Amino acid sequence: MVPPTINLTTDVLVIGSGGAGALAALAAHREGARVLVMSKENVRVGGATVMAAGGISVPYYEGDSPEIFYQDTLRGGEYLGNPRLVRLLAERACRAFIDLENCGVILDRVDPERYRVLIHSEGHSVRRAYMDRREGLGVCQALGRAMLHEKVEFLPETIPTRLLVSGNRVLGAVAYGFSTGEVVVVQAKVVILATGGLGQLYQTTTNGKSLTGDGIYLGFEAGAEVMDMEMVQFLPLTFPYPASVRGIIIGMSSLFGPGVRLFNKEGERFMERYDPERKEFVTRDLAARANYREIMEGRGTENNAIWVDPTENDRRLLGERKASLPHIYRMIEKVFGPEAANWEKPFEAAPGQHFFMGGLRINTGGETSVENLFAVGECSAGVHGANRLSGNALTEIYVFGPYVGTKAARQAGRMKAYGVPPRRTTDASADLREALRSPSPSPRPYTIMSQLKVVMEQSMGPVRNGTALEDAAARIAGLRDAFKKGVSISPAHLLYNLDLVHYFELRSMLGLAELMVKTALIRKESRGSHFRSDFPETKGEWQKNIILCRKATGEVQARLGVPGR
Amino acid sequence: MRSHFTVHKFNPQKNTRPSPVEYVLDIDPRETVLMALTRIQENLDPDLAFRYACNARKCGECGLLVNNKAVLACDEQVQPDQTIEALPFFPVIKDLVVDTEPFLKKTSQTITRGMSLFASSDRITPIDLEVLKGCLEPTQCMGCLLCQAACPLARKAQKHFSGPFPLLALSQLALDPRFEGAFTIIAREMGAQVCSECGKCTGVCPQQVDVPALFLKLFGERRDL
Repeated sequence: MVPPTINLTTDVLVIGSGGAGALAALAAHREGARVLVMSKENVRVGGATVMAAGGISVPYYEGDSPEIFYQDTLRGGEYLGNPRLVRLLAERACRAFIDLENCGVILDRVDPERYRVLIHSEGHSVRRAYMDRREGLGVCQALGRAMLHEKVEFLPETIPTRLLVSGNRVLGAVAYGFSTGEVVVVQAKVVILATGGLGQLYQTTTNGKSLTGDGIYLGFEAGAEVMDMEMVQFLPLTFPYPASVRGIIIGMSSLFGPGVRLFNKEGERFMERYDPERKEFVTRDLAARANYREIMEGRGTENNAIWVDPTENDRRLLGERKASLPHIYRMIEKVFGPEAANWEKPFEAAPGQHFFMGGLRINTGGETSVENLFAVGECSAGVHGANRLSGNALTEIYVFGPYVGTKAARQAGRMKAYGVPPRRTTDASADLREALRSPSPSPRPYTIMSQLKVVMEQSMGPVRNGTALEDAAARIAGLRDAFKKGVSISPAHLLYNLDLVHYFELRSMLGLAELMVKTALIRKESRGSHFRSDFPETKGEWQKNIILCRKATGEVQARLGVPGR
Repeated sequence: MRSHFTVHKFNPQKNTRPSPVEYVLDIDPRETVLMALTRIQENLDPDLAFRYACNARKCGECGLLVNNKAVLACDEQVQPDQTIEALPFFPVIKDLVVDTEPFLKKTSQTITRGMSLFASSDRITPIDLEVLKGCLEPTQCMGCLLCQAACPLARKAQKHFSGPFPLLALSQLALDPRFEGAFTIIAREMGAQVCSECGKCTGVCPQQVDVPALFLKLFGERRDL
């Protein structure tokens, strides 16, 4: 089969259309560059950004400062974060809010000139969480409108299948446009990866279906360094049932009032055992681990969950909390009934994968180790270290989205001509031909995908150990071998073929799972979100990032790096 | 529960019209139509095309018709017998997937005609809390376009009515004090006065936005423009 191919050129190719990609694209466009946004999703600003419910960190309230925010974030990441990136985050956060409004967004306010900073979240030393009554929607809508209005070019429902590289320089990307059934070859002066995290590697995740880590995988295969691949954040509370809502975000205990308490099935307030001082108000890594352990050790409910009891709260606080989190409270009412949503009855919740701190290693300009290849947002590593503080993910994209977009546009401006990738047309359809080999009999992509999710949930969850990780590595290798033998994609047509999309997603997921398990085995200590029951202590000599890179020979090389150097 | 799903499949590159295909599935009655479609694609028909993203009633990508009502597939419970079709008004790409891009581009061009971009500010722009309240309502729209699909007048070309979504998008700009433009004139040109306020758009809105109330406000408050 020879798929129809279209060839495009642009100054800046942005891959991903969540908040990070949209802000980078708008900034690059405003800098005068020609910009093309490629996304697996439809024409819109979505990704994980549209799903964000909770607060957004901004050092804005009285008593706060960029310095305190900087210290909190570094400490929250257990000193694996790159101090120079964290400094940028802290110092530019307030300005980023104003610039977001300069893009046409209107943010929520408590006073005409004060943003709605309401909540003091765990891990932050002061009240720092901006809460929007529209949750993520107000921002996404307005950014989408700005992109349309400013005529930023969009390539929707298109999944990148490889980056074009020559030597150590990126020259563009090849993609499968599934809503058109075409192969798309984009020559670009610079490429920005903004593909988000990889929650879909897990059975229970708060992430949407697009979050399969494609950008991290493609960047790595193009020769870029990745780091902190063992650092996966779990949210303590997600919906445990029914299956269609499993993993949907409930959040942190603090969202359910200052009087919230967690119980196991024996009626024990178990957080008193894990942290007698902070109890339910520990950072999210500790909270998720405690919940996961209670369930794994047989003290969970029949739905593999724990109880969240908000009944001791002062009810006068309920109105404000409900107004800040309308969606979560509506879902709680739907699944558990109105009493639970009115703090009159406890409800069940289970931990779920939420955020990936690892990803492509970047410098303070957002550049990866491959020339002209940038990364921004959750697919990049270095801002959050070993654990992300609540609210810092959106601050990261508000700050780094425009910052990296501007840097990338300037870099594109310095490039005189497009690089010519070797044999690009042959390369372009090679991935599709490989995918459509379909030897018979072979499994469908989703069957391998669901097996992979089980392995990751069991071995790479909030509690890990060497034996389980060794076992996981072997099982992932087995799944990878099965995948390489060929999967079944039938019928073999190209128009909106979901199995073909799943094929490329699975390829990313298998590649990343291998790197994650490898890194988790290397780190023989516990730090931040990485907890090894066989190495429960944090060790000073491990205050280092584990950096992986694929050598020209094909082998994966691991080295240690000092954060920020 | 044993459920029968009649899905209208359509490949515009090969056929001239959609044709119904029936699938029978054993499914937990608490599940959603989106979960049913996923199971059908995985187990019964790999060739079925449908669109979604968040599976959490946030992104608005999974709009379709279930038993003739515009809904989000992730928010609609399964029933013993359901007919599932693509959203009307938009051209079909394949099966349940519609092409919204030309419509969104046209909407953007229409509503921003003659609009000036406001000057960038170095500090927070003061916004009166009552005005802010007016801005928050239309900006909680998730862009699912169910309103547009549900509007009986939008589909009648002779009515010259843009439909509810473009007018909602216009009111997002018009109610935001930072934007300046001839929004009332544009609203008239979009046929806002044709709206009969039948309430079908508000009835299907997952965010329960009272769409006509918002755009009809433009005439009251911005009559001078």
